[in-house]
Amino acid sequence: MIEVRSLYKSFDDFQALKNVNITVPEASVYGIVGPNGSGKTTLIKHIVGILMPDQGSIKINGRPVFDNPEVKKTVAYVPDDIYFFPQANMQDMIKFYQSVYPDFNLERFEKLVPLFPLNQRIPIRRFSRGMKKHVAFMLALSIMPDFLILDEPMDGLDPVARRKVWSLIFQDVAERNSSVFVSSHNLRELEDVCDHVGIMHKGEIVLERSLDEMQSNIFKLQMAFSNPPPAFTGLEILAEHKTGSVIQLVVRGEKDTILNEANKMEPLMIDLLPLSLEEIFIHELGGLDYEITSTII
Amino acid sequence: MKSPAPLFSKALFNKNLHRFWPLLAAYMFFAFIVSFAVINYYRYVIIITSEKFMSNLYSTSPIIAFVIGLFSIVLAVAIFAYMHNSVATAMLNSLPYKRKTVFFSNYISGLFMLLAPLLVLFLAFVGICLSFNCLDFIALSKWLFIFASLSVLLYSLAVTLGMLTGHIVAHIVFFAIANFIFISLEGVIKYFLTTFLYGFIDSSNFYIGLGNNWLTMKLTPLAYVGSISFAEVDTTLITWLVYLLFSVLLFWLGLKLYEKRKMENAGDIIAIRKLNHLFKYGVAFCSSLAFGMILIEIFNVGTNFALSVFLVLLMGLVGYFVAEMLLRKSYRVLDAYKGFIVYALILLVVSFSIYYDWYGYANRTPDINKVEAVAFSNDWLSSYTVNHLQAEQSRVFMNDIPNIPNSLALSYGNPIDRIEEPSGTYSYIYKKQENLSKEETELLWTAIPGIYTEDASIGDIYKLHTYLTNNIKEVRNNYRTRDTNKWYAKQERQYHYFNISIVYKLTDGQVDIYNYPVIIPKEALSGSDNDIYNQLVAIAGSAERRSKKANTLDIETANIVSILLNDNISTEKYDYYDKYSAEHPLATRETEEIKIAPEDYTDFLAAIKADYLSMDDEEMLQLNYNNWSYIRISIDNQSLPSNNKFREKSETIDIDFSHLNTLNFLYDNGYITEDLYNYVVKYPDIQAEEDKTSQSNLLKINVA
Repeated sequence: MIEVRSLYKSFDDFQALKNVNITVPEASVYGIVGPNGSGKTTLIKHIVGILMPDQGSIKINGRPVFDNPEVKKTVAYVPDDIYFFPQANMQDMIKFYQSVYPDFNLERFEKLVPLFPLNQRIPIRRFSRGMKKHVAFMLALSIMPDFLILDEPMDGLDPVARRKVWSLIFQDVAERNSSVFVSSHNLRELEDVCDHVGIMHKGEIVLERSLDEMQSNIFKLQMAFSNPPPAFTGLEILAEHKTGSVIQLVVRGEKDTILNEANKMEPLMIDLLPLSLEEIFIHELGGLDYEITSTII
Repeated sequence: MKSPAPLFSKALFNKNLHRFWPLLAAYMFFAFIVSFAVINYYRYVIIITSEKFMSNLYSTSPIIAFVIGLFSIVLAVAIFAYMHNSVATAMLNSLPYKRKTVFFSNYISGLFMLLAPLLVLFLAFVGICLSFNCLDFIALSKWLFIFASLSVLLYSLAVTLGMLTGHIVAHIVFFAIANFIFISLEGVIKYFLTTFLYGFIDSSNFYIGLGNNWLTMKLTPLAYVGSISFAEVDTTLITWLVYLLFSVLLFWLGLKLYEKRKMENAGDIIAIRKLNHLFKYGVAFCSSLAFGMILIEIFNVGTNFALSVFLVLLMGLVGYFVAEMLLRKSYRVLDAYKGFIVYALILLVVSFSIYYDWYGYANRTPDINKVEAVAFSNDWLSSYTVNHLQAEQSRVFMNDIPNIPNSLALSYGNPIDRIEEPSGTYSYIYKKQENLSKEETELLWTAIPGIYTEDASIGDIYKLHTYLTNNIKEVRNNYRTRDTNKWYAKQERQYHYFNISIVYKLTDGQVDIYNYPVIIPKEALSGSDNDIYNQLVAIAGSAERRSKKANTLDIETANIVSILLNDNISTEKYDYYDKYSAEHPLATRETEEIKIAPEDYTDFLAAIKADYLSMDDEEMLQLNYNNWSYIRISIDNQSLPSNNKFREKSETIDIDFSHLNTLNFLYDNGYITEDLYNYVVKYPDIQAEEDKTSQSNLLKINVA
């Protein structure tokens, strides 16, 4: 389990993280989403022990992660920008990882080779961004991690490679009970893979729940009325939109409560739909100064 | 109980060797180039000694020190370069290591690459020495220890400086600055003080060897180690042990900085925010002094205090805002002006306090009861003066003392050993001229005209000194008013320029050095000008000075090889061709060396001695200012053994227009022509006429 408590971090005058609290349960896939510059990568760099927090704690299985080799041995990190030693080829990196990570599983690495066929003799710097990600995943999975920390992991990967990588990650979670902490802007993808989601905005976690919980608490309510619509009292409305006689509301609350309140208004038609993660993201942040606006340029 | 995390990671060590072996190879290559140069030097030599080998080896010190410095920073930059790149630093710091393990392993791998070639080089030298049968293992081991200490120190410095910055260029620049900061600061501060502080004298000018700037030299190990010769190597290992101690401190500091380093500062000029102010004001200060002084020199405005301070502040302003731009990585830094105002105010106060000598630097005087001897000059003081005064506790230079007493010549000039050269000749080894006994020191002083030991002379000099300090404001103001470019350009002949230097040797062995430049009008003397001039005249004409001058000519005629006279006037005519136009009687004379006949040696020297005793005090003051010729006496002191290094000497004596006995002797014995004789005799009138013309021209210019 990863526990982040009261984490603060500033870069000179810029407050990058503010009282961040998250919990990543064991054997779960936790997705962190947020606008650009919201602090996701900074949070990840704290979780893998690169950055030193100003305040707060980051613990993995109850032990602090910063400057703790025993904990860091259990963590594999795939950053958005991947670094390999400039002259190194895959063989060099395998040797290096073998000497650094005692649990490095060469057999597993060999099994991954056919999935990502790459020339192991040429310097990695000559690989494309996507190919470098292949190498990073192969190495990360081969150290037999208990925790996989992925920062925008699928950027630069083609759809087939994405499938392969997710499949491998799920396999690892299922077989070894490993936990995954992943940041991404691809909310559609996260919706398919995550069981927990945290939304970050301006360095703060504004929402953290299991995906089920999140989707059972916010709905799209569509209604049509014969007469002018009544005042929607009793509903926590996040957004309202009218198309012809159909009124579309984004409402927060329990499914039954919302339906009861809506039925009291005697609509001609009523339909309650779950929101996608992307819609939730847009509506949650809409109230926090991050709504969609259009500008004519 | 869990075992603590290991300090050393073989993986990181191997990774560095694997990545940076070309640097190791390059360093090894340089090392072997030097080694083969040494071998090549001895290729044709049949017999060599360990001392010769070591001397030759130490002659490569500047190259080896430079190569060590170069590879120290190159290796430190290469190994810790990941800290300059946020992506690389993220990768390295996500690995399962404690930060101290990463630092230590990186540090050790670089040090290994720096020391291994040195050890190989040492072994190569052992091999060379064995093959030539000249191995001095202790001396060679000491050589290894010295350069290994330098390597550890410079590498530790390079690594620790890398912890302060997140930028590769800054890392290299900081290393270069740190290596020469002390010696450079000493230089610019001394230049600043020489320009602005009346009476300031850089006492290191009066020492030979390391002198009194030994601390700044030793704080500049690259220069210090690069400049040592085998003969000058410390007999103890203290310096090198101190270097190693410093290395340990630097390593510890580097480790602590790395452990606390904020890795997100990769790419920043200063990675430790608390050092931002130090960097900014440090750059401003260095820019003020270094570039300010360069501008003062370029525009030649050192005598204009206001303009000089303006230039110093201007360059401080440039340095301050450049530093601010580097820190912010932006050109928009003008809002930081308040910091500069504070800096400028402090610098102004400091400059004023120095210029007006709030600290009483020029007012100092020693306790007269503690003065044992004084070196005095109103013109130029030999750079060996302090060594001569402190002969009991330093190395002295006796080679330029023409009339060195025989007992000293025998003690320090006779060889104590000899080495046979392959050609069959011998090289001699002499006793080191250092730490003379008290008696020897006092004897040495008797042979040096600038040194005074008699109470009367010391009293006169001290009296002048106290007069200067008591009237320091007037003396200083007069000097500053007259020391202008305008004066130098137009009024040179109307003023005396005296650079009064006084060096007291005190009974406790220390020396006190004072300097008072004064410019005194030649005519219409009054006030302090008159008093100073009269006192200078009295000192110049003192009995001690006259007798010492005369004593330099106490040379056995049998020991004189030759006396040659050169007249400057004939030479001067080429310098001032316009002045001595074709119709001038001297214009047709050719420059030639006049050889004094051996039978005239006694009378000739007696004539010069008589001049020293008969000149009036004012003429004694003007000695060396108004010479029309000089003589060179070649001496072969036959009372010394043939292999005594002081046996053959030469002495040069200026002949002034006041040397009338000498002039008459030369004319009466046909050594000079009548026209030259007449010119020299009439010279004072000619000069007065020229002065009058010059004054008149000046007046015309002023009126215009």
